[in-house]
Amino acid sequence: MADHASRRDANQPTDDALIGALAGRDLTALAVLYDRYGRVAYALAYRILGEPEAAEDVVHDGFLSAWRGAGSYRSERGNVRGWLLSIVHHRAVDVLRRKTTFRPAPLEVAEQRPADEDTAEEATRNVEHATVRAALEALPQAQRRTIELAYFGGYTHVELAEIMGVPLGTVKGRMRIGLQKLRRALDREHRVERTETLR
Amino acid sequence: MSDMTHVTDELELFALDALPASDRARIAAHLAECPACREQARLLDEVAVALPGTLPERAVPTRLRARILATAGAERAVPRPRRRTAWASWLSPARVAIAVLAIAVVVLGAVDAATMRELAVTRAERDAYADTAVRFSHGGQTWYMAGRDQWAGSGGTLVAPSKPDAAAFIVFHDLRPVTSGAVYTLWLVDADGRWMRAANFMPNGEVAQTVTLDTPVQGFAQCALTIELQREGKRAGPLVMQSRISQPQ
Ligand SMILES: [Zn+2]
Repeated sequence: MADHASRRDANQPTDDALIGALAGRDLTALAVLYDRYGRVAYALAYRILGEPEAAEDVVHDGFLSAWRGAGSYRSERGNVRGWLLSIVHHRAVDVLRRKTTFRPAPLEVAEQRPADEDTAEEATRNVEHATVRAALEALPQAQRRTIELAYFGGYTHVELAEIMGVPLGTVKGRMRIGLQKLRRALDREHRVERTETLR
Repeated sequence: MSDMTHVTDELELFALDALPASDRARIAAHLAECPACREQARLLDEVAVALPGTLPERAVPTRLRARILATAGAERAVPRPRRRTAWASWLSPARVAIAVLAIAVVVLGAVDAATMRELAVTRAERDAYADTAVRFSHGGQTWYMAGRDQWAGSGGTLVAPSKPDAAAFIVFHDLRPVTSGAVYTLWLVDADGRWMRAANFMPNGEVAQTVTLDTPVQGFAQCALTIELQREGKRAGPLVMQSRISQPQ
């Protein structure tokens, strides 16, 4: 995974070690974990909820949930970054769905949000998965929209079929093919990283 | 109890969180039992959690870090009775080693240390045992609960580290799946017979599963595991396993 772990120097605790320390109620471990993944977690929550306060609450609750539930983390289900982001994603979508009156504007794509809120330096430095991002941008519009409306928009498959005016099977099919392409991009990214590590 | 209709067709929806809660729970229950679907779900999850990495990061409110640490610190500061002197004398290093091995043997169902070393345990299982050993090195107490009735074969070891601020935890083994919507609930029972809910959790489908308790076990007389349909409130479900947990004074 192209997380910070692969680029971190060897003296830093691994993510798995931090989770172990978290289960032992080590606040420093929580701080280090937040420093590693707080930004991407906030970016995700903000993208889903569109409001700073709500995003902040979701990230707060997500990290607290990790703090309380570190014992339930299973490394074979995915890495720590993925585990944390899944918690935050799930909570953000929950919050969004409970606000029945609010739905995000049919968000075309992430980068079409006003860039002025991110400094240019941050925007370029912080895109972790450049290859996946490129692959996402290269997807046919229908596949990309389906994936983004589901993951960032919090729409269920039934809602997606409705707003896109297509059968459920089409929604699933677009997701499947789109995710397969992203999977291949992710694999390419991993291969590049491995090559760089070997150098 | 187990629904072996594979959920392959819905795993993309699951990975993207595009299912209503009821469907989500059904899929999670299936994944707990089905390694094939679980592996596929894991691969899709990897793609899904790459998506946040495609977002440009935003300026995070600086107070958020302090807020998270403050809440966590406040939870940690909940006073826990200290019995360091009683427990410190309970375990010699040799007894610690034996106890660690005993837990591993119980969990793995292995017969001896040699067998245990040879077992091709998964990374997660090794992590769990390593974790167990690390926490054990602080000294502490353990109680084993055996599954009753139809849950014979399941079990769990409650470990209460002597380190005052270390959380107690239970290493369960061979937990059966629960029906959709149900959870395992761990209870602490005081001397007056009051049941306090200590944790709700889903079985993870693995041989061993560690559950960390937010509540100190000191002062409680028994611990018990039941299956419940409600996430809160009084105990209503069947008793799966139970043990006395009285401490030396
Ligand atoms: Zn299956």
